[in-house]
Amino acid sequence: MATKVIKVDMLARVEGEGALHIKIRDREVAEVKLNIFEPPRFFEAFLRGRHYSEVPDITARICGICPIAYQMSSVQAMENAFGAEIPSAIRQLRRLIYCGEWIESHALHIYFLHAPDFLGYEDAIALAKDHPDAVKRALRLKKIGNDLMILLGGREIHPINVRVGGFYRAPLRSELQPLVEDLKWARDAALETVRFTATLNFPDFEPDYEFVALSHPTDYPITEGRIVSSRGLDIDVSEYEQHFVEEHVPHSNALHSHLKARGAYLVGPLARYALNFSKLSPLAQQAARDAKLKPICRNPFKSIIVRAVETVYACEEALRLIAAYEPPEKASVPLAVRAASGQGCTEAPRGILYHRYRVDAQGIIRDAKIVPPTSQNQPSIEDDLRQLVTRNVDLPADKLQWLCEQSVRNYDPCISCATHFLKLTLDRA
Amino acid sequence: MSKKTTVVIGIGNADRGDDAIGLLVARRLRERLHPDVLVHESTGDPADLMARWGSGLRVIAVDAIIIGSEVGTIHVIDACEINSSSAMFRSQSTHAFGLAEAVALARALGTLPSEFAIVGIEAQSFGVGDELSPPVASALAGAVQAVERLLVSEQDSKQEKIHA
Repeated sequence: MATKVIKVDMLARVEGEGALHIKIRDREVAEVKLNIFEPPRFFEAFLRGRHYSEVPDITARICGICPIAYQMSSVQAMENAFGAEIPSAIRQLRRLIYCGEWIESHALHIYFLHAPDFLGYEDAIALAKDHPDAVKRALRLKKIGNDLMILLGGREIHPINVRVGGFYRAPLRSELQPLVEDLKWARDAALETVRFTATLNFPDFEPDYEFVALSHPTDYPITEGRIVSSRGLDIDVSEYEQHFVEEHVPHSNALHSHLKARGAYLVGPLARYALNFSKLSPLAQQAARDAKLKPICRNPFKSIIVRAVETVYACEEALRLIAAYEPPEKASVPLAVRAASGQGCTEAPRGILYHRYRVDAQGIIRDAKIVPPTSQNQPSIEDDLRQLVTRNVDLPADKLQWLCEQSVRNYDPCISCATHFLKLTLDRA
Repeated sequence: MSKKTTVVIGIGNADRGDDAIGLLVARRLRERLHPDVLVHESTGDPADLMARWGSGLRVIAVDAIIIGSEVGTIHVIDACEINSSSAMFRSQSTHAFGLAEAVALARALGTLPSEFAIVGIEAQSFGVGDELSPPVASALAGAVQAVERLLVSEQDSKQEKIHA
């Protein structure tokens, strides 16, 4: 019996540390394991005993690329617990700072982490030698996203202006104006990015995912919405734990998340796009059509185009929000602290991020649950790999390995987040 | 001609032991008020570094390094000598991007400043929440002086150009 092993010890161009082990026996895939050995970080545990007001500052530390996602899901969970009504002006500001995060996170992933795969480069530095204009565009696009986060959040790494109830300080209209020209440039750069990604070569691969994302009556979902799926799920955020379950698997420090009824599911740009295409701006929809995307895209390799389309949307949405901005009367609302549980769920760049907290009458956290998008995608990542390896089992080892790594990077996995540069072993005989 | 031609960038993480040294050097320099020198602090993210050093500026970067010398040794390195596979620059981020990647990327894009010196302090410990280790703490003054010597030599060569 011939056994082959594909082994990548440290996956490059993903955030965090993980490894991949694939065993092939007689040309059949016997085993696929995404080993997350990034150490578990125990945020859910050490949040216990902390004051509710610390939650945006503590959970922001879970991620250096998507701190806003953590801050927003966490404050909304606390506001839900206390029954706080957040006025529209504050909610619009939250959407605006979140646009900044989408822009910088997507720009980083598209150009620095994923595009090299499609063009045959080891890394972005090699890509930069042949495509300097593309990389310069990426750097400026990322910087504009970061500048928006700095303007509203105080700084781009672990922003300091977000609090339960709103912000510590709301900007004046005049403070937002200087970013308008940059955001217009960014919108055009994002359109160029859609065109650029549309020219890449994509393997023909369209698994039948169950997509899960937020959905809102009028807006492309970022900060708010019900949780819906492409197989009929339609629930309030508060019902999340009745439908989704996390489990610990031996080969990963990150929990695997499943739909109780049906198993693996997909969150992130493809899911948002498939479930909310009609809520994209006309310009973003047209950019998608010009890139030959249909309103539903099942090819995970084409997620790079979808991220670019979302970047167009985020730039346009930021411009719209700035034009319409009226400073709130107060930067934050008072809170009626009480013993309660609350849930919050927002769309991080990588997909839905769910938080639940139980606090006591003094506002001290008694327990916490945080489900990042990457843990939710882990079963799908492994399913994709199983299917891809089965279809490509006769490829030479180095090409098969490249394909597997590229497939993991389709998910823009944030391994540090998923545990509270991938090692791939292909075991082939 | 603008007199602001030099940028000093202290690189590091204030909360990771010896990784704070670059930032502390920058702060000490800022106190000493060199009016024609810009002083920045950076976490070492390549996009941030490249935005700070701009174009046409002379750059002095200060960072913790690991090259196997005695801890606390101060090295002055020409950025042309390093490439992205240089293991010497301690990168604390799981994103694994740092000064070496920034230099390599800028070189690939043709935007690397032509005069780029790195003052590297051999470091040893990067524990979360730790202070500087004693040999690195002792090197702080020397590292500041190394940067100041580089700045003075730039002044001297400017004077020579004027008088020639």
